Amino acid sequence: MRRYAKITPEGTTDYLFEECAARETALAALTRLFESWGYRRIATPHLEFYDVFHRMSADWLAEQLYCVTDSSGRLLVLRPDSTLPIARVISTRLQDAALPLRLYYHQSVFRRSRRYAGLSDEGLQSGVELLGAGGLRADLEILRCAVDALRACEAPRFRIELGHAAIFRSLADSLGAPDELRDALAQAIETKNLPALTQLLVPCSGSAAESLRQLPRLFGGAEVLDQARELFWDPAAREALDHLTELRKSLRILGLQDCVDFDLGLVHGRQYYTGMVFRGYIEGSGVTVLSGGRYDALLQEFGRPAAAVGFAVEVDPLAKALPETGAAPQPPAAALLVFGPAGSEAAALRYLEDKRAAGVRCEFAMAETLAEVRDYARQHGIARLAVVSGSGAAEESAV
Amino acid sequence: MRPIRIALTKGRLEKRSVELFEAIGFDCAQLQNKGRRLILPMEEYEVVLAKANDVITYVEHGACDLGIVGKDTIAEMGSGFYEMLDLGFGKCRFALAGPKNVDFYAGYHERVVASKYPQVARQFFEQKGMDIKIIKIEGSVELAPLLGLAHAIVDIVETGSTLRENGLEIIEEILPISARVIVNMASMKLRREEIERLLADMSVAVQV
Repeated sequence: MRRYAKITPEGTTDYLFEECAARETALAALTRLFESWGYRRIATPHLEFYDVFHRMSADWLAEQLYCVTDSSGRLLVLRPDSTLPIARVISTRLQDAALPLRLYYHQSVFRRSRRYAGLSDEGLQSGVELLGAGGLRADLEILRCAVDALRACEAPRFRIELGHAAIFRSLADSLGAPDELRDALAQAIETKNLPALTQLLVPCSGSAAESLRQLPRLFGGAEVLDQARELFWDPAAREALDHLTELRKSLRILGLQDCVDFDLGLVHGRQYYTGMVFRGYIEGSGVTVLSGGRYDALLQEFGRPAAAVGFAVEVDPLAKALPETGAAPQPPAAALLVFGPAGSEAAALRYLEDKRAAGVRCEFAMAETLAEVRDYARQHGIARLAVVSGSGAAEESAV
Repeated sequence: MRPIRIALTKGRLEKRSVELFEAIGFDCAQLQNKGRRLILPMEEYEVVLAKANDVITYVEHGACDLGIVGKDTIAEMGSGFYEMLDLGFGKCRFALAGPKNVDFYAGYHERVVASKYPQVARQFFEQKGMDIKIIKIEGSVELAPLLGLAHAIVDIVETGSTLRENGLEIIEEILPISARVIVNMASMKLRREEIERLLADMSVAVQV
């Protein structure tokens, strides 16, 4: 096992100094944002029972999960997502809490990615969940909050794309598609693969098939909602369209119409979404940095039926996008180096304690001889040196 | 903002891709006389020539905004990007092939399949609910059954002449292949107008 003692597992990394600082800056901005909206922080364990994630509505593939067993042989996973653990908390420790509840988190998720693809298996996510609130108000609050989360990183350009989970679901329902075909259709639409989609729909006819065929093309500005209205005859799909139109109207009033586009082909891999779904992108990052939506049917699977909506942002791409000045500065060098020659170590530390309490930035010298201590002070730009004797008397001088 | 970056697959698809851009009316002089440069200007775009697998990697990470790559590579590598156009050239197919007049499916013995595309092979047999042993081969896969290493192969078949010359035949077709245009998801959203214009040009040129 010694062979792997000097490296981190694939898809993970160490964060040093300014990398941590940039993360902290991003997290601090997000904390300020979420708390200003009245969200309260929660944290769930890194390890959860597999059953939390093994759901009808949100099945993770075994190859995406990091699994271990506990001392009784029960299957645990490193959480691949924070929404499901929060759904668990709502139905257990928070089961008596009045709704709506506003919760936020900063925590890592773990997903196995393809080997050598340069993707992260451990990703720090920040997110909010607005639980126990359905309808337009909650959707608007979450969208507004999502836009601000991307603004917090001051990316020159960013974009949210908005879709609706009921569009694909209701069209596939009225097609009567069996599960296998449904998955293949979702995959083709999600990747805007028109040739494959057309091929899959060859045996199907009717307005639902025609609507599905057009889904990958229906992305862009508000005009796609009008195009879709001409196409969709399915009542549930039209209802979803009405909701998006309603959102569009409100977004215009909020002045957000330019940063939110529509993509009706946004199916979203996590199947627990029931209403609006959205993703966010920032310039300079080729990956999806924000993802969320409404999931009104999930909480009842945990025994507490309630509407809910939320999103998560990937903190690292956001932190990388921060302008350099946004990152926290390096801590300045100490003002005073305190040296206790052999025999007066404790007295020197006591002297340092007093100085520190008085607000002086001190460093405790680790070297053995005065010459070494002076060299160290010069190398590290420490201006003053205090040499403390056993009696506690100190001699302070410029280096 | 940097120019839209296009990744082209070197080799088999390269010539046809350049012809496609010429048909649109782009000045491809730099692509014809590329010398040792790796990033080549073409009109307002930047073109990168790369191996098929790398085209996918560059596009997936957003290092390139779009790419031209064969469906074979997409099927093997998975898809974290938009696959927006079938260019219709570079046509061939994935097939399961084995020695002539041998029934691959007969009996219950363990079957060994050699392939340069282990993911494609795995998925194909997974759909059939068949448990097989897959061996990854880098070079001429046709050798594996001839040397007794494998019962069959999963490979790209163009005309089938290599198979015939080696006493092999197609057992089953798996997937038709052709050149595709893939697009990074973030680029598609952040630079929609530019990319849609380019895609429209390409799809018109391909139909001529």
